[in-house]
Amino acid sequence: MIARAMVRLAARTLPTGIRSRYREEWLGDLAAAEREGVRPASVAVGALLFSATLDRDAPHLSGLPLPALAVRHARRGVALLGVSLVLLFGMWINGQVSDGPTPSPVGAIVDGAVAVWPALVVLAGLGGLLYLWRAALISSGLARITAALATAGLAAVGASVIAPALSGPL
Amino acid sequence: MTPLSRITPATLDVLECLLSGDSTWGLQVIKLTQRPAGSVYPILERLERAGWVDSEWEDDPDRSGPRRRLYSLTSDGAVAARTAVRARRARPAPRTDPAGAGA
Repeated sequence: MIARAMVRLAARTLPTGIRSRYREEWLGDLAAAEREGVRPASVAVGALLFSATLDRDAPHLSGLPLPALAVRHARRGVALLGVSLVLLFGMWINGQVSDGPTPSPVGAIVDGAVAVWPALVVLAGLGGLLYLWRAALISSGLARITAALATAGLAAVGASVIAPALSGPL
Repeated sequence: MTPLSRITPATLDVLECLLSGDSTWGLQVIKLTQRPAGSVYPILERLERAGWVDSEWEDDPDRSGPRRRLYSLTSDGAVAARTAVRARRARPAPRTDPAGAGA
């Protein structure tokens, strides 16, 4: 039962083009595992490992040639970095205008959001960098330099802004 | 067919298993090679992507439930697999006696 759920979960995380094929293949393996002397858990773990290690950027899986895939990753990376910067700017603005907790219900919601704000900035930034690096690794040397500069820039911003924000109010 | 960048011992076991018979399915490969499914599934995918192996659904109307996916070596894949397996067999086994076989 658990092995079946694990296999279904592994299949669900696969690219759509190969999802149904591997779901049926693994379920077929699972159905006969005990009869063949193979532990069902081994099949389930195998399915999860397969999904975790699959090269999703391969053109036959993504359906895109590598240059187009690099552009898609770069676009997502830039968008996420933009979100991170907007959130960072909002955090800074909030630090300028806010003077302690606000008594109204709306203020309470805002205060709650402010508490998770730095984490969202970091998550969006890291997600953006991840996409930029994925684009860079399948693209040109110039893209790698851009990704390295973005990483250094974000690290500098993180060191100068996020760290003080985490240790106390702006 | 594209050559493999590296052929691990586990890959050689899978190739040897595929060479030993007709079409076989993933679970059979796991059983015969005694390798974990976490190694066998990615190897089969890599071999298929490289054109060494072909796969198709088993056509057996008498069986119910999920179908089996049958793997077999392509003609080029079989030639390359034989070469790789032969190269492994030709490799000298690790020596336990530094003085030689004593003959």
